[in-house]
This record gives sequence, structure tokens and C-alpha cells, in this order.
Amino acid sequence: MAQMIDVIPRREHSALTSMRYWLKMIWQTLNPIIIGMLILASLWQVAAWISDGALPTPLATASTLGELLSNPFYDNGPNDKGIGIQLLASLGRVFTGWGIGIAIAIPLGMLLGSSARLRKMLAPVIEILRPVSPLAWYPLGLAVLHNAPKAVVFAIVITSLWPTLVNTTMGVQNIPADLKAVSKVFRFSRWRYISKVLLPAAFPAILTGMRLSMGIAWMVIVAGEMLAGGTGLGFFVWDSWNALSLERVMSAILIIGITGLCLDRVFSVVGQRMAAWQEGGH
Amino acid sequence: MAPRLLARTTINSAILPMEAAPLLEISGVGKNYPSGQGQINILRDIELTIQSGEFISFIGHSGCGKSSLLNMIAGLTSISTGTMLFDGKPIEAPSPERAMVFQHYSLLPWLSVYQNVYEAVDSVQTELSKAERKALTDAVLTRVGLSNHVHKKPMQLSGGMRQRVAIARAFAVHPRMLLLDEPFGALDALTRGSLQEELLDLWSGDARTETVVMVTHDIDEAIYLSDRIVVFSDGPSATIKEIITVDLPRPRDKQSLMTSQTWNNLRTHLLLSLHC
Repeated sequence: MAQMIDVIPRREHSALTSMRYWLKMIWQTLNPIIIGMLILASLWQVAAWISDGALPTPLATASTLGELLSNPFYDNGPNDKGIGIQLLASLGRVFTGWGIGIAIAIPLGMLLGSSARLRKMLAPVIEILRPVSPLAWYPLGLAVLHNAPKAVVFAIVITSLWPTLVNTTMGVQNIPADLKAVSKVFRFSRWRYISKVLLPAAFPAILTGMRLSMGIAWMVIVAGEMLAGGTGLGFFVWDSWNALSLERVMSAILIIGITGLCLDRVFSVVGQRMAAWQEGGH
Repeated sequence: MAPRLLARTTINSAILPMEAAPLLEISGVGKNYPSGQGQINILRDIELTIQSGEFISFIGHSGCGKSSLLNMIAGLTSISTGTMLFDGKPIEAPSPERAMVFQHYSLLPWLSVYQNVYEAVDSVQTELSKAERKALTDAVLTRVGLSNHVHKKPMQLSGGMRQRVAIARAFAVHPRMLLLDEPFGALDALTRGSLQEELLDLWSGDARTETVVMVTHDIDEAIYLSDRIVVFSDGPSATIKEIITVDLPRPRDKQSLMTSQTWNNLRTHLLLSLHC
């Protein structure tokens, strides 16, 4: 009997402990984020005071952001569209440019990683093209493509492909010699080697490259759309500046930052999942 | 055609015409690696003939080039001087006929145990049907006692189990010569003992893989497994110091052997040979 009595309170106790545990975990995760955000907001507030009203305060921005987000998909003609439409336009260009970029960079990186001769040949070309500013490519794209949004996509392609190219090359170069020996001894065909050895071995490096490429693409899009006009977050920023609405500019900056963060998190999660899968998890 | 003719001449000039053609003939082989301005000599004047059906061990101190020689037999490293004939033909590239088990297992970590063996079988056993390839993969994995672990990834296995997968993979392609590069060096003594027995079991039970060449650091392992032990001198510029014939009947029972006089003599001889 003593034992039975003992069991009941222990169960309640454990349920309570587990709830407390989870609340504590959530608090511990959120706590530093909240403090960080508060620091950012206070610095912003101080900057707004010092600038004597030129810079909008966090509160004024928040209310503008709320307005923008309350009706994100309205469309009142070419110069007045909801922030959601602008965001989707930018995302569409970013994914197109980034997609074309990695479609060039991954196969080329695989070739470069496999051939020292090719690396020696192309290294100077890559080193010359890589540091060129994204906007320098824009007129070139415009001249060839005769279309401002396409020229932006072109600028994204040519500036975002480098990290994927360099990382894929390194990933393929660093495939363990033992695994290459296995492929030779068991006479793996080229396709079997690529699909079962090269790609899985280089995958973490390729993913890192894709992540860095995405970061660059997202940086380039805003600048590109400022030049190109029409639609997109970059155009929205420039248009708001012309309308002297810095609250809208600040709101757009927040949206750009948060979207960039989300894109980066996606790669981080995919990377962790793949690593777990390679080690035998699910 | 030229190399083939050359090979035949070599065989015809053998002293004993009744003797079967050797499976592997190494003569005057040396290896140089580029180093700084010049070259560094690793191995020189290697003369070794291996008959079909032999179990040969290479023993010597680290850096004596025994692993280099094994890699040259595999075709993974080129020879600098001399000739190396496998079945009368010069070794030019790696081949599943000379399948290899590597020291650090060399399994593909992203593939399951089953897939690791199957990819090799699928690549090499092209004359078999798909069903036969699968059956062969299952059979070799069962023979090394891994039938309950086929869906696991290598990271989920112990070192001994990983090396069993690598051994299964090598046997599954039915090599004529099996090359083992310190296969049990990274394992604990108990696991090493049971894997040695399993290897002997597989070797004597498989008519297709008759010949084994193994690199080892372990004197007892060399005596227990081998027909002949090739002792290397210290590097650089190492060569074969002596070749010891292990005159112990098979099947060998480790426990009774280890107390026998022959075993002790061999052991002492090898210890002295390696220490001078």
C-alpha cells in the first residue's frame, strides 16, 4: 500500500517538472534573443534622438510596418503595390539568379576539383572576376538582355556563383584518397563514382557554398532593384526615399533582414538533417 | 601485344618447367618519391614470386615501404623500376582481381552496410543478373555475421564490424588475390583474434580467392595466418631482408600452436630479425 500511495504524487510531480522544464528551456532560448533585440531597439532610439528626428524611431517604424503588413498584397497600379508583392518579386529574381548560378557553379566546381590542370588554367580568371562589384555587371546585362529586371538577375547569377564554385571545388579536391582508391579497385563507372562517392563526400561543402551564394544574391537584389526600378524591395526602398518616408525605408530594411535570416536558417537546417542522415539517423 | 609476349618469355625461362606459372612475379622493383629537388628512394631491388594459393604476410617497421609495395601490387601506385607481372601481365591499373581491404575500412559512410557491398558487386559482377547480385551481397554479409545489421550505416558499427563489411566487400567481387593493408591494426586484441579466424575461414572456404597478401605489424598474426612471411629491412631504401616459411599444418589451432616449439622458434627468429 505504501508503494501505491507513493506512486501517485510522483507522477504529478514529474508532469509538473516536465512542464517547468520546457518553460525553462523556452525562456533560456528566447532570453538572449529578447535582450539582443532590446539593445538594438535602444541604440536605434538613441540614434533617432541624436539625428533630431531625421531617423524615425522604432515605435513609428513599428506602426508603419504594421500598416504595410496589414494589407501586403494590394495593387494600385505600377507605382503602388503592397509590400508582399514587392517581397515576392524580389524572391523570384533571387531564386532565379541563384538557381542559374549554382547550376553553373556545381558542375564546373566538380570539374575544377577533379583536375589540377583545369584549376591552374581557370584560377586567374576566377580571381579576376570574383571581386568585381555586382553593380558593375548591371550595364553589361542591360546591354545584352535589353531588360532591366533580367539584367538584375544576370548580376545575381554572376556574383552569387563564386562561393558555390569555390566550395564545390574544395569539397571535391578534399575527397579522401581512400575513397578514391576504393572506386578504382572496384572499378566504379564515372556515374557511380559521381553519385555514390563524389557528390555525397562534397555535399557539406557544396551546401556551405550554396548558403553563401544565397547571402550574396539577397544582398545584390536590393541594390539591383534600386537601379532597375519597377518592382521589388529595392525599388520599394528607393521609392520610399523619394517619397521621404523613412519609416517605410526602415520597415523595408527590417523585412529584408528577417527574410535573409530565414533563408539562411533553411540551409542550416538542411545541413544538420543531412549530417544526421549520413551518420545513420533519419 | 608486346607486354604479353614479354611475359611469356619470362615464364618459359623459368628453371623448373613443371612448376605452375606464378600468380605474381616481382623482379627488381623499386620506388622513388619526388622530394624537394631530388628523389627519395623508398624501396629497392624487390624480388618476390607468389604462387597461387599462398597466404603471404609483409612485416617490418613503420616506413619500410611494405604498404607502398602492397599499393603497387594493387595498381594504385606506379613502380619506379623493375617489373611486376600478375598472371603474366604487367600491373598497370587497379582491378577487382586484386581487391583490397584498407586499414581504415574505407567504407562509404553515407551508404548502408548492404549498399556498401552491393555497389562493389553491382560494379564488378556484370555477368550476374540483378537478382543474383543481390543474393551474392546477402550471402557474403551473412557469412561475416552481419545479416542483422545490413541497414545500418558504418558510423553505427564497431570497428570490428566495419572491417567485416570491408572484408565482405572484397570477397564479394571474387578477387584472385586479396590484398589486406594492416586490416586489424586499429582493433582491440579480442576482436583481432576472432577476425583472424574468420578471415582464415573465408579464405579456405572460397575456392575463387586462393591467394592473400597481408601487411601487418603483428608477429603472432603473421605466423598464425601465413604460409610465408616477408621481412622488410628498415627504410628509407628498404628491401626484403628475408622470407620465412611457416611450416605449420592447416587448419591451424591457435591455442595448441602457441605452445608448440615451432611457433616459439619462429617468433624468436622474427623478433630478432626485426630488432637488428
